[in-house]
Formats: sequence, C-alpha cells, structure tokens
Amino acid sequence: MAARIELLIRKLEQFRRLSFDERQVLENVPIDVQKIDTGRDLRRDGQRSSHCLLLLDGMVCRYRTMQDGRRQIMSFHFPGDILDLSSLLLGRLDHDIEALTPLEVAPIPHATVLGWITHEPGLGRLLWQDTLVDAAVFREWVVNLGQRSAYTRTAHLLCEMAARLQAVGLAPDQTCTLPVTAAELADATSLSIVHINRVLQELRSKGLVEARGRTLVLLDRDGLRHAGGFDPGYLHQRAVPAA
Amino acid sequence: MPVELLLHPVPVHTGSGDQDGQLVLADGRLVAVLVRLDDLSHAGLLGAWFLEAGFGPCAHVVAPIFSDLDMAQNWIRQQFD
Repeated sequence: MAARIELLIRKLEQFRRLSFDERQVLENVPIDVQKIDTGRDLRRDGQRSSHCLLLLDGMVCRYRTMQDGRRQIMSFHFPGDILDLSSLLLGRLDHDIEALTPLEVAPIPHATVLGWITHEPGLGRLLWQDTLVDAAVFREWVVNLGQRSAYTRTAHLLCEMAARLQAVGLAPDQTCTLPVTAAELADATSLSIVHINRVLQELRSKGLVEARGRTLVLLDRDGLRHAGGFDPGYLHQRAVPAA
Repeated sequence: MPVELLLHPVPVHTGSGDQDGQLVLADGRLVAVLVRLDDLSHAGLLGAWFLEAGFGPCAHVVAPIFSDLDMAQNWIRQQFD
C-alpha cells in the first residue's frame, strides 16, 4: 500500500523533501481503501469524526448549502489531500464534503495522525504548512470571487486546479482533464449557470478548453494562465527538479 | 392595484449568442432586462428567458430562468406582492 500513501508524501514534499524516518512512518500506515459513489456526502456539517479521510482517487468539494437551496462550493480537493484535517483539532466540521466523482478514500485514525506529530514533529510542521496553504487558497478565492470578472475568475480557478493536480503528478502535460461540470464551476465561482456557460463558450472559442462529457479538458495551460492572471505563488509549491 | 408591465424589445450585448432582450417596465419604471437563451452553449435551456438584470424588487441573487415570457411576467408581478 506504499503506492497509495505516496500521494500524501508527494503532497507534503511540495514543501520539502521528507527524511527517511518521516517517510517510513507514513509508509507504515495501514491503508484501508474505501470506495465512494459520486454525489455522496463523505462528511456533513456539524459531524464529528474519529478519522481523517485521505483522498486517493477522484475529486471532492467542500460546500455550504444556503436556506433557499443554493450551494456555494468553497474548495475542490484532489488525490493526496486530507479532506478533514481540521476534525483532528476542531472537532465538528463546519461544512459538507461531497464526492464529485467515484472516489477511493482511506480513513486514517486521529490517533495515528497525532502519533505522526508526536514521533516525527517535522511531519507536524508539514501538516501545519498544508493547513496554512489551505488558508492561502481560501484567501485567493475571496479575491477571485470579489474582484475578478467572470471570465478571469473562471480561468484562474481552472489554473489553480491544474497546478494542484500537477503537484501530485496527476497533470504532467500541457493538457489536463478535470472531472468538473459547468454546474459545479458555477457553484464555485458564484456565477449563474447561464454566465458560466457563456464563459466556457468564450474559453472554448479561444482554444483554451474543451468539454468532453462530464469533464473539462484544459488544452492550453499557458493561455489559461494569461487569461486568469494566474500567479501560483500562493500555493507555495517547491520547484521539484525533473525526475 | 396590480402592477402594469410594459415590454420593450431590445438587443443586448451579452458577449454571447444571447442577444434578443426585453426591457420590462413596471408602472413606467425599469425593473428587469430579460434575455432569450439562444447561444448553443445553453443546451437544455435554449429558448428560455433569463433575468439578465433585475432592479428594485426584481434584484435577485439567483437570476431565475423562465420557460416563456408569460412565466417571466408572472414572476415579476409576484415580486411586487
């Protein structure tokens, strides 16, 4: 199961290379893979849990539902992400987490994660860094929703998703396939379905993206970076030398 | 007295294939700009009317979509109730 935990290792190695001992601690974690269907809520607002969920395959969003049924997606998550690390110290979750695709997740007991931090404090710092980057991403989303036009906002979001997938080795090329629908992008960008359709049409007409079924293919990442005014500095990814 | 609606056709620059619009005046004041969804990107919504902009009681966080102009006018009237 070392290959499964490798996703988390790759994610943490965005910050610095892990030591041999740190790597061993993570590689010795028993991984119990659970499969989850699309559309299922993995965690609910207010829920307490004794485990953290490590995402191994698929895509997830955190969201909040308004009283009139509208939904605000607050973040997207990719393999290697721990979806509810906050449950470790904050207890109750303050949002819902939904499977946007079929998923594979591995529940890791809170006691295990706390054990990592106790025995390898360096891992604790890396998880802290991860939560700080999470906060940086939320800050960028505030700027994105509040200050960027519909077109720029959407391009910026697509760039961010691609950059995060690339960091765990899942978007190695200039092209990148995102399993995300127009409705989900609308909920994440606070745009109506009509406006997101128009934006996607404009991005398509410029050869930047292409819709294929339930997925969106990013065809020209440099073009999208330009369209979104995207600077990945806030993701704090270390430049990894090519393998 | 129910509000009196007057529709006035107007082309709208939406940056897309959606161009046919209607200004909606309620008792002489502009309350809505409706646009017909003709851009092929809308797939299942083609031909429906979208509240492109709403003013006063028609200003809405979630812009509704109506299957025809009668439905749109009914909704606009309800906003004055």
